[in-house]
Amino acid sequence: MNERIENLTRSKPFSELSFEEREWVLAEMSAETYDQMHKVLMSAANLHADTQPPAYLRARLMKQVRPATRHFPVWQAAAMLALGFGMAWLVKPSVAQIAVKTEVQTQIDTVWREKIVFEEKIKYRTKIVYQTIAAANPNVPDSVIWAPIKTPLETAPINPHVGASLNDTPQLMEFFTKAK
Amino acid sequence: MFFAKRNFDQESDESLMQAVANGNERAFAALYDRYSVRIHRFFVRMLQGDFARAEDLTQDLFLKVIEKAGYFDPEKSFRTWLYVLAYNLCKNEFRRPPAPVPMEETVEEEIFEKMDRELFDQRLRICIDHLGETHQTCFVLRYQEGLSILEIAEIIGCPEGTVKSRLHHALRQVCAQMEFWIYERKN
Repeated sequence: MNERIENLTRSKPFSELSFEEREWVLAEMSAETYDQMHKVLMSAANLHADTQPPAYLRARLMKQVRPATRHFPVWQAAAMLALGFGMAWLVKPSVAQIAVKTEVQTQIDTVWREKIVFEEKIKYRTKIVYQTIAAANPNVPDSVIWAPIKTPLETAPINPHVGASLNDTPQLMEFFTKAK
Repeated sequence: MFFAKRNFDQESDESLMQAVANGNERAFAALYDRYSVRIHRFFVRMLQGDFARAEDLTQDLFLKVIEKAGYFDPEKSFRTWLYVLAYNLCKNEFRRPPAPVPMEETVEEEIFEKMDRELFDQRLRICIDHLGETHQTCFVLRYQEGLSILEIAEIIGCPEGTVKSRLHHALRQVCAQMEFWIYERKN
């Protein structure tokens, strides 16, 4: 069906058509068919015409709209920035009020060197002094045989006196030299 | 002024959608007020007068509008986009087994006696509901919602020629079924 005729059927009945419009219509269909279509289309457009969604639906849906983070348009953001710079320029202190402070920072590197210190180890040696004892001599008493072995220093008791010279007392000289 | 309140009633649908994407409640309210009645009526017509289901789908549709506002392309028509969403919701409904349509056979006698407007409309509703899914969609969008053929083609995703052909057949079918009733009313 011609779109122009279709538009006519949706607007007016055959009786209201102009002579020219009637000619177009009659070239396509009969007047009865036209009126039939007009009636159907007019009635169809009015079907459920008074239907409306319930009022509570609107309120329910409005709750679902979450206020997102506000997005400023670019021009607003630029204006705010310009305003901020302007305010900063106005509030800026004069040069005399600016105190220049120079701070020098020296950075010193510290190098740590590991030093391994061993503990002093003292080694004791046992000095064995051999003493020849005539084992065959039955007169030697047991006390002499099992007596502890004495070093020569121990055997000769040092009996220094005040004012004695080291040259005069060789034991004393030996004591000092050995002790060193 | 920069900080003056926006008058949403005079803004285009597309700019309102951008505001909705930013969470503006007033913009959504303006959109809802513009389209809720039409969309609800569309659902009622497509769902054979099932008001409860139409209400559910209207709610679902506007929830989708809120959720998908960020994905809307402002270069495209909002009305077409809205009807695409609505049509997709209807398609899901069509997949369900259809509810039995009362043919009102028992009131035939009354119809002969009283050919009033209400009965005529009732019969017309039944005829439209008995069109196939695709033909019914085209019929409702064109003759009841008043959309252009180009918009319908975009909504249902087929060429304009196909839409015209479907409309022609649908109208012929409805007129053929209503012929008797129209004749009776005349007399």
